[in-house]
Amino acid sequence: MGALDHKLEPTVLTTTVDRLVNWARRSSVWPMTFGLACCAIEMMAVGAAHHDLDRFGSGAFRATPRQSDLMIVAGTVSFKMAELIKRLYEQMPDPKYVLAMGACATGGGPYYKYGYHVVKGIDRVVPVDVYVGGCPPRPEALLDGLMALQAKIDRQHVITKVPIIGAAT
Amino acid sequence: MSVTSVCLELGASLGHVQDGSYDSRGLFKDWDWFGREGLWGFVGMALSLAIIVGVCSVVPILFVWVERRGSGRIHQRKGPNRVGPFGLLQTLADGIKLMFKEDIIPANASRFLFMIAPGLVLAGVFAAFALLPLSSTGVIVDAPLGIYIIAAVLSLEVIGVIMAGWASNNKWAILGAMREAAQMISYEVPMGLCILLAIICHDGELSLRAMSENQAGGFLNVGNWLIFSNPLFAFPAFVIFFIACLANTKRAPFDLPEAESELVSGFHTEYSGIRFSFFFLEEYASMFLVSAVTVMMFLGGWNIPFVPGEMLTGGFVGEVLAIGSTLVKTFFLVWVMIWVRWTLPRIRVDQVMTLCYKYLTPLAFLCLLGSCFWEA
Amino acid sequence: MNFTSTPTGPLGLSRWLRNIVDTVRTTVIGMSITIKYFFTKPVTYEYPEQRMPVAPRYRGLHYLEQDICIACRVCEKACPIDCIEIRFERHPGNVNEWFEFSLDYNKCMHCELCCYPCPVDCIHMGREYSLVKYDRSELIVDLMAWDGMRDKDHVTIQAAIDKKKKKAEEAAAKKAAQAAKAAADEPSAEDENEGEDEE
Repeated sequence: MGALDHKLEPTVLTTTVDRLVNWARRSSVWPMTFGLACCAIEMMAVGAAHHDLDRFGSGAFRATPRQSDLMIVAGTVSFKMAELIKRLYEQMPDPKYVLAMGACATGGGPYYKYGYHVVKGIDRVVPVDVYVGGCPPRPEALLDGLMALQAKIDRQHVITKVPIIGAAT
Repeated sequence: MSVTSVCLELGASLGHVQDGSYDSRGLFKDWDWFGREGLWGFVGMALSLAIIVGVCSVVPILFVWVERRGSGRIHQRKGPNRVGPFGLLQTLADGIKLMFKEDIIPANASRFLFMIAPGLVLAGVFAAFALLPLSSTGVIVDAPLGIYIIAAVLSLEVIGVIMAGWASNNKWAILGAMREAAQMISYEVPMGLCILLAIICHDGELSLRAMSENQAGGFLNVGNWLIFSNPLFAFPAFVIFFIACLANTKRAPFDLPEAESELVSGFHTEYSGIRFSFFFLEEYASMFLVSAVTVMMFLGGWNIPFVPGEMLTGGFVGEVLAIGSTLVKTFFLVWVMIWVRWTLPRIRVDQVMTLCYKYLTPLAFLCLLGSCFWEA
Repeated sequence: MNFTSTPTGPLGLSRWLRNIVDTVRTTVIGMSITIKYFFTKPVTYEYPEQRMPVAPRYRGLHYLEQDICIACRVCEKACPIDCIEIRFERHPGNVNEWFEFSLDYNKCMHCELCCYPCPVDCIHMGREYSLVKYDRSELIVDLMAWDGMRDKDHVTIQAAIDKKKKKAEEAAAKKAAQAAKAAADEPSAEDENEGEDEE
């Protein structure tokens, strides 16, 4: 909670700055290289020629969490990996976003019933902004997920730091 | 701006090392549109400075866009095209985003060194811009020892990188920094030899402005370009110098200091936000700088084919043409760097050293020796 | 590019020269390939505007033809991970009052095993693929076209009830007639007939 919280009314200045910063943030969502399973193959396909994540300015996959904005959790998250997901998430600088890609990441997927080793949804570990269903989702679905995230970023308030309450679909 | 003023001092003091025989053209000698005295003189001076500094700091931003679009086309994809027209505002968005991101300083990092390292790296490159002539008078400091100072200032960068790697308290970072140090110091050898070759071929001139002027004339105003006037030895030297520049700017296939598949992100693993963007900017700025130096030494400087050399060294049109031709040639070399990056895979760390010490250094010696006889 | 000494021997002058030539040659070849691709047309589909054609047998999000579904629950049983949830109540006239036919895309792996056993072929893998939500619970997708019953279902149920009633009345009348006939022959108990009617 910053010093300015809830002390600034939305004015022309703050909304303009909000718009600028949100535009910058939504235009360069750098994802982290974080492929865990088969969904990672589709994530790579998004970066490749047919779908080209770079069109949205998100093509710069950063290897280090310090320079990335978006963690695309693509694949089956085992309990062993969940610790590392949590750690990497905490290493990312604010503002940071998480996109759960595929059935395994959103809710355990095929391992829901008998998978003793799989986290039943990564929202039990890190806060998730966007869920993309599918097993694995098509690259287009991931692009849709990115656009949904951009829409969510557009609703942020940078200066007054009003939290996003009840993100609507 | 303070960087520039420091460099002004440096260049001026070194310029007066020699006796008065050197006709120094620094500080925009002919760019006195509003005279030299009083407020308007100051305004004109500031404008001239702003042009050089502006060009030097805007082009790296442009190169990021060129790299992303160019790599896209090489991959048969489109590259950034949604942010602004043709994605031109992409780098601006990246910059604003990085500015508004959290600036993490790890708890166990050496705080002071961690904080100043990116600035030092950036300062090294931008200081060298002060000595870089874009045309015969469009130079902030026309030091008689130009290329010498540029080579020295450029190798300052490695101190910043080692500082960043060590202060991060991260094993990837320190490994990356050590690789950078080894690579940079090794490649200084062939680079220095090629610079020596250029100095010899340009009648012992160390100023980049004088080197460029030396290449005017000849067949179609092309014949005196160093790679054409001395094709047997200067052309290989040009290639060797360019390869050494690739290694010095940490560009692929020599991007071992930030090898993403081995070291997470190399020496800037722990950097986030605006400090990371300094490293990012530095890479592209030094690409521009070393390309411009290569152009000045080997590719005829600001000389344009079919245009007489005298026309480019005076008058407003000449200045514009000269700056344009320098920038076009430099952009071409930068584009070659980008092209190489998206073609060649990263080579191993032992291969980097083998390439330097077993191949480039002996070849550079051969070229140097050969051109000594050629010029004699 | 072979920079290192191979077991064939130390780095001699001939190999040194050959390495240089090879390096230059291979680099030129590689760079000519990339510049060739630079000048070809990009193959990118601008996704939201242009869409890549989907394979003919692509297994996307399910769709249900609810009007022919008989609620036999075979798909629910066939699902290896129990992601289909069916709740309904059967009414006279083979009409189902639907409460739930949902598919949990948190679990579904699009294996199509639910589609094969369906006796009336009413559940299919569709060609839609995009399912993006801000909340995990929204990934449980309702496949039903309608909830509960439609208007015509009430009519069908009413018709079935009426028909049954009519049938029962007819049967009762018939029995009554029979009983009357039998009573004319010999007296018998009417209680048994009444008991049958109520069933």
